[in-house]
Amino acid sequence: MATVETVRPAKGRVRARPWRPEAGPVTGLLLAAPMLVAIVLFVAFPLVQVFVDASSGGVPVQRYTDVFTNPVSRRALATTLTDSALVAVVTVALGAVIAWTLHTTARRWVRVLLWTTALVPFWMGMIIKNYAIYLLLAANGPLNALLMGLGVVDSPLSLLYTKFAVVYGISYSLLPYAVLALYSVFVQVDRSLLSSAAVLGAGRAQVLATVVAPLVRGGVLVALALIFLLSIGFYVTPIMLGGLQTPFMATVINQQVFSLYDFPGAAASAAILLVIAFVVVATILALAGGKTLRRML
Amino acid sequence: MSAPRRAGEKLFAACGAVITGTIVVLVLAPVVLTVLLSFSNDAAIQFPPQSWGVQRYLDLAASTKWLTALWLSVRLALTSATIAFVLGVGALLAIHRTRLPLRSWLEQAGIVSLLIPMSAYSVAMYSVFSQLGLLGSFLGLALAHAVLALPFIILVGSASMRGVPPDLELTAITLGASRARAWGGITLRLVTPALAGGFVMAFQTSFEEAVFVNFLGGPGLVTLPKAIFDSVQFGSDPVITAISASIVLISSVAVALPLALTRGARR
Repeated sequence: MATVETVRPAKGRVRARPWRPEAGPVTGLLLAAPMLVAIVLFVAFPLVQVFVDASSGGVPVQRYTDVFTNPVSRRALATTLTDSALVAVVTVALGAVIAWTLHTTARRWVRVLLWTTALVPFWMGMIIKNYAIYLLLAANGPLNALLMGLGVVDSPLSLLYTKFAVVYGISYSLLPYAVLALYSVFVQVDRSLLSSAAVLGAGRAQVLATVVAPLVRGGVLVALALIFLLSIGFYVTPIMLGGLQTPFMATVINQQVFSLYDFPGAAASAAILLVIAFVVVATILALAGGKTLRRML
Repeated sequence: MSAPRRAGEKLFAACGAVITGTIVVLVLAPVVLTVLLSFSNDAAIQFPPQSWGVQRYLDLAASTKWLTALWLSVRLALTSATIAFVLGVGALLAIHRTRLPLRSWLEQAGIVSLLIPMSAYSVAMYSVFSQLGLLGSFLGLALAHAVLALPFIILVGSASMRGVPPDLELTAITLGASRARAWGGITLRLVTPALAGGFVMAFQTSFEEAVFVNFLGGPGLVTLPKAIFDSVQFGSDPVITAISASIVLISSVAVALPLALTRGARR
């Protein structure tokens, strides 16, 4: 007499574990493999290779110290870091005004106008927006025409190839990142808190300082670090709008590769930038944790 | 509220409005200016323009140099967006629908290229490309652009995938669908709008990219951004205003059209 125990499923149909809706690890690996290969080849390998190149030819540290001792690259490094800090402060300040207005305004046209403003630099393309700013700031351009028309200056100012031009250009490109990152922080501030504070007698400035600021401080710090990180790598803007007068690391790297043919030197400059970037990313993660960063990206 | 206090509040609000207005002007002025200057017939760019017309667009339409660069850019952007799309969709399924160990790390790996400083990254890629013999190759550049574009597909796709309950697939499988059918017919179909958005962003990333192409493209691969970059460095060609204005117009329509079309549906 057959008992229940003797009834076995057909051979090969025995499951060690219960059936799960998710596919197994092998399928997962197969699906992820193309991207993994691409990332190993074109992200991990280059990042390691740049340090190998910088130390090649029997001089393991020489080229790194050169970056700091050579007056040109030392100045470029200092410019890159100070200008990027300036860019971070300016972009986050302006982005915060836009993001906060987007969060609080009730007017539909203001919202449409500000979203357009925030996103225009995104879809203009790197070269085109720098070219447009180049036209705006040119000696015979409209900004100078306006200043002279108003009688502010007598002769055209040289606005191009200045710190102002570079900071304007980079901030312009990074404004969308700042607005999107800050907006994701600001939307979590409950608007009823603002009206509560106002009912209790706080003015607008006081509400911002005592109610909003403590709630968004962390997010703003992450945004500052993120903008700084994205800014130090800019290549097109410092070359197109900064020229040789305000050299960035990008300008130095460009010369090392295309004029001096000093590729290992360029690798050392790049390696220093990567180390700085790594420190900034680590700081962001320590400040906020990966979750906040993911949400803000 | 006391009178001086109310005046203070008004002043504060006015300052906010002025700052916001200034930002709007600073952002929109370069765009408006470029479009304005593109409709001038002056021999060189000057402001204010002395003559108006569509000469620059006619020059653009007749110029082999710019049209060749444009065609190369379009082909490159389509290729790299397709590569990024294929890599990204595979990874997204692996992250959200399999039991692959360390799958959350996969997501971080996918977006890491967004955070690498471009000027350093291109030096690093130059070295790797010369070792692999990919310098100046169309496919190599497309792969490099695909890696840059990947973060957008992963970010947009992941956010959308999280919103699709796995129960839907379970239901389909219970009703007899294979897993592939459930993935393709339900999950991927539901995230299609997001993936389409990611594809457009990937296309745009490659189409506007000017740094990698400068290092990796060699003399043979002159994309539109590279042609403009070179032209501006060695004296600028007024035709660029017409190109810029056309691209701004086309991408504005590409962004605004889906918004306008879905507006009715959302209400």
